[in-house]
Amino acid sequence: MKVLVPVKRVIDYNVKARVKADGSGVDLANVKMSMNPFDEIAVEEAIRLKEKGTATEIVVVSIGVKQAQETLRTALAMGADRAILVVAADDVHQDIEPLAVAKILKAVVDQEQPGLVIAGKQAIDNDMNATGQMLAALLGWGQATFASKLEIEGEAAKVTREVDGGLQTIEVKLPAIVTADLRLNEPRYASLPNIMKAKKKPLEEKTAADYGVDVTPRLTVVSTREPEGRKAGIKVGSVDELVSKLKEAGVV
Amino acid sequence: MSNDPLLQPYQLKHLTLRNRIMITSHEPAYPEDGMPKDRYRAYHVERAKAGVALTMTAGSAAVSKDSPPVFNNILAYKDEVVGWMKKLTDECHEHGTAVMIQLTHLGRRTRWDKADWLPVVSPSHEREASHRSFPKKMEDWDIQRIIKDYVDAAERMKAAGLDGLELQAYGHLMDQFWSPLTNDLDNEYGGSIDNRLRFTFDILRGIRERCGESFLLGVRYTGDECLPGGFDAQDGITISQKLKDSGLVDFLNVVRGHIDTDAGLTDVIPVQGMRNAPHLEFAGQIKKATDFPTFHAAKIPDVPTARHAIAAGLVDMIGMTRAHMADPHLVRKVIEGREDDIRPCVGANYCLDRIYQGGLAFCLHNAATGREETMPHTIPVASEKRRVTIVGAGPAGLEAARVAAERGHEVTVFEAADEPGGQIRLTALQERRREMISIISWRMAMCEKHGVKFNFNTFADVDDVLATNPDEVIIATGGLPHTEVLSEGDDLVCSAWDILSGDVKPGQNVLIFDDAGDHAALQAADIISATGAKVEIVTPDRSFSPEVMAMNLVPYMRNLQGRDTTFTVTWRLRSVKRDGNQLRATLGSDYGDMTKDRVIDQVVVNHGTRPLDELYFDLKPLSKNLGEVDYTALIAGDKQQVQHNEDGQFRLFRIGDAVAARNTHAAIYDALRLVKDL
Ligand SMILES: Cc1cc2nc3c(=O)[nH]c(=O)nc-3n(C[C@H](O)[C@H](O)[C@H](O)COP(=O)(O)O)c2cc1C
Repeated sequence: MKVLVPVKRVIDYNVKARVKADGSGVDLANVKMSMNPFDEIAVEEAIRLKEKGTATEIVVVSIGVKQAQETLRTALAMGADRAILVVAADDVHQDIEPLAVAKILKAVVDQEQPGLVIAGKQAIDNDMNATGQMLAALLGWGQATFASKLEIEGEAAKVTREVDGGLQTIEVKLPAIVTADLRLNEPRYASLPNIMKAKKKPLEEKTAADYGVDVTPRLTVVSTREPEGRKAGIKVGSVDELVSKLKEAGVV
Repeated sequence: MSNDPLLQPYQLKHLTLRNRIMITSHEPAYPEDGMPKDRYRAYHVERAKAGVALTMTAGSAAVSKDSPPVFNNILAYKDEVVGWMKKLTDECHEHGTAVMIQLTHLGRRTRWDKADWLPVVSPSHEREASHRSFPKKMEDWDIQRIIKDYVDAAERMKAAGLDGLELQAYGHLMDQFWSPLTNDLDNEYGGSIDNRLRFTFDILRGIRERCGESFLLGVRYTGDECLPGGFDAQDGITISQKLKDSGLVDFLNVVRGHIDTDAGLTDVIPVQGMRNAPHLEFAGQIKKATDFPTFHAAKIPDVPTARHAIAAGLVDMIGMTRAHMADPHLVRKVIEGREDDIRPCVGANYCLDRIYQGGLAFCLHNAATGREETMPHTIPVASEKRRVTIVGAGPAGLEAARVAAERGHEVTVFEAADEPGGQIRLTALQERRREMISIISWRMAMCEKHGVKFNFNTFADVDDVLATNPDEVIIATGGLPHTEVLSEGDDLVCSAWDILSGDVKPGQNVLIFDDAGDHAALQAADIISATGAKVEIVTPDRSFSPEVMAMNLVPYMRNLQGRDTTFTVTWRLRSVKRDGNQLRATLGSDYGDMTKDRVIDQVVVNHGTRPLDELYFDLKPLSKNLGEVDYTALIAGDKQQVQHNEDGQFRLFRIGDAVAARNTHAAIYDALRLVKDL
């Protein structure tokens, strides 16, 4: 079974994001970019399926700026077999919206015919949480979102999902879309020898036009603001003072 | 005036210490001919300038000829020490730092085959494991002779203008008298606790009489030997009380434990992966019981913990000794509110382990420490701004980037991986070595401050480098494990890195062939044995893991010995063949033709790295200097002037393991030494 994993290049989770002066978004110039952490989990899960003998080939796809090939190389270094880069933007600040991504992915799936797509549950930059679901709708496939456990049993995938109040286990017929939640696994470290091997793995470059998809944004960003800074605290001298301050603040 | 508890002055009798941070006594093994000369002085003055309140110089300075130094200590029994100590003291005083010294007689904790070949003495015949001498049991004239030596040495320090001194009493002669384990004298110096303390009080009294009330006196002692049959915490309190009640001392400097074995020493002075501040509460108990000035140090590497120690009133002065080796300007940064800029001590203990191997104490990741005369702790800004391109973000590349950026250059870094760190990142994957990552994160923070441009996930080629239009190119690409050392079966083995990175899953019955002798083999053994697997480490060396050194070995042994790991020395892995679903390893010997076989299911080879130097050789013909480094200029701290290629657009240098497999300190020293003059 072939497994397809879409991966997104996003601002590194360690970076303290700064909003651009004009409020149009987060400043990404000269900022460390990495693979979306949930996508890393998705790649790891695919590799584990391959190690178990369930998956035969892992194809990773990224849609965005040309620099996303770095993200694909990381996935290849982790253990993916081949990569497809769909160049859909020139400006690092242009975010391709979930619907356009899902449409391109549908076209890739039509070509590649994977038995399973594992995606991250959401990208940490825009937190849309929509691509996997939209892709399932476009393909007419079953979907199992927020997976914390995945087992392939014959023609079906048994998926444990993290839902409010606990865990839910469902079964979806393959082919299907699974989206990865945080506890699905701990992604491996891409070692230097594997980074070197990954240099030789195939990376095919396409454009959005190759798939006939219009990536013009449909959403307009009205404003972007940084969270308010924490205000300095005060020291209280006694429990009584603490209680009266809390009352003053209207929290008790 | 700051209200930081650490920055409050402390009144010790007549002496005002300007804050609560001290450097405890630690012999960095810098003396020349047993004297604290220019290198030694520069080391202390650098720290005095930055505001440390008190520096306890030396470390085990020898009072007698039959206490020959084990790690190049100061010879306090020579009169010429006065001039050198005076120079050091005067200069530190000029910068407002109080100066004291630690004096000692090592007793059995040394060797007879050194200096004057005198027999080693102790109050019993008990041998110390670490130094292996069988001591002479002291006679009455030995005791009187050594008491006089202590007093004479103290007088020399008073003459040199020091503010005071402390006597060492943990593992050395003084507490060899105290401990029932090492004192079986049947005269007035053995037996009861008062008899066992008599030697100490005779010395203290002698020093007081000779040096007067204005010369401060203290004892640095263990308050609990933590050994069956030794003196315990209760006895420690009694001893502390007696020291105070004698009226002969002005401060107590408390440690806990015993140092007669590597493991014991490592519990007294913990290394990375071990608990921080393990003995702080204990020191606090002694202060509470005695209500007397109390000093303490033992793995308090961070300012918040030091601040807690003072704020909570646990001790009066807090030692941050290795922390000051890593960052001599620690106190200045606290004063200026720049705590985040402090270069952190990562507990690698390279400093301390090296002195026992006869070397100078160097900081694993501050190559200027101990080299103050030639290497800068504050990087001077260059007169001309240049474009510097660095390939590789391991310790060498990041140090080069930091130094170049601090010099004001425009710096671009390429890194193949998605994160910085190189081999440090690999080693720090293991919980016990996690502190190592601060070597990288501190440099990343400094680089960010100075606007270094990073390109991760980029396996840079010639075009990438040329596109940055560089004036200087530094190749710091490190190396890859080299495992092809067998006559047959190279394809059947994996590297220690494969185990550390998780690329290869541990087997169940594993042979590790280690002839690099560094951390990687032991880390691999630790990871593999933790799964319940059986591990045998085989090395052609006479002893295993020589590069790991004594104290660093301790945490490994604590894990490995509990897990049935075996060590086989003086055998060399020759070949590996398949044997059914197992492997058959053949071991040979450098001593003759003997061989023996092992049937196992996994073979790990640790044989260092080979440079990843492709990019360097691709760039070499395009460079002005054809990669050549003028070593004479490099060592002298002069500018590099080599010019071979008229058409070259940039100069090319190679540092760290990209040149040849060495260690983190070598990588960082390579970078600092080269880039400070670029
Ligand atoms: C290179 C080195 C040499 C040392 N030598 C001595 C010594 O001679 N006498 C002594 O009492 N302590 C010695 N120490 C121990 C230090 O005084 C201190 O107790 C120890 O480093 C723990 O404090 P820290 O964690 O702040 O470094 C030495 C430490 C180092 C790093």
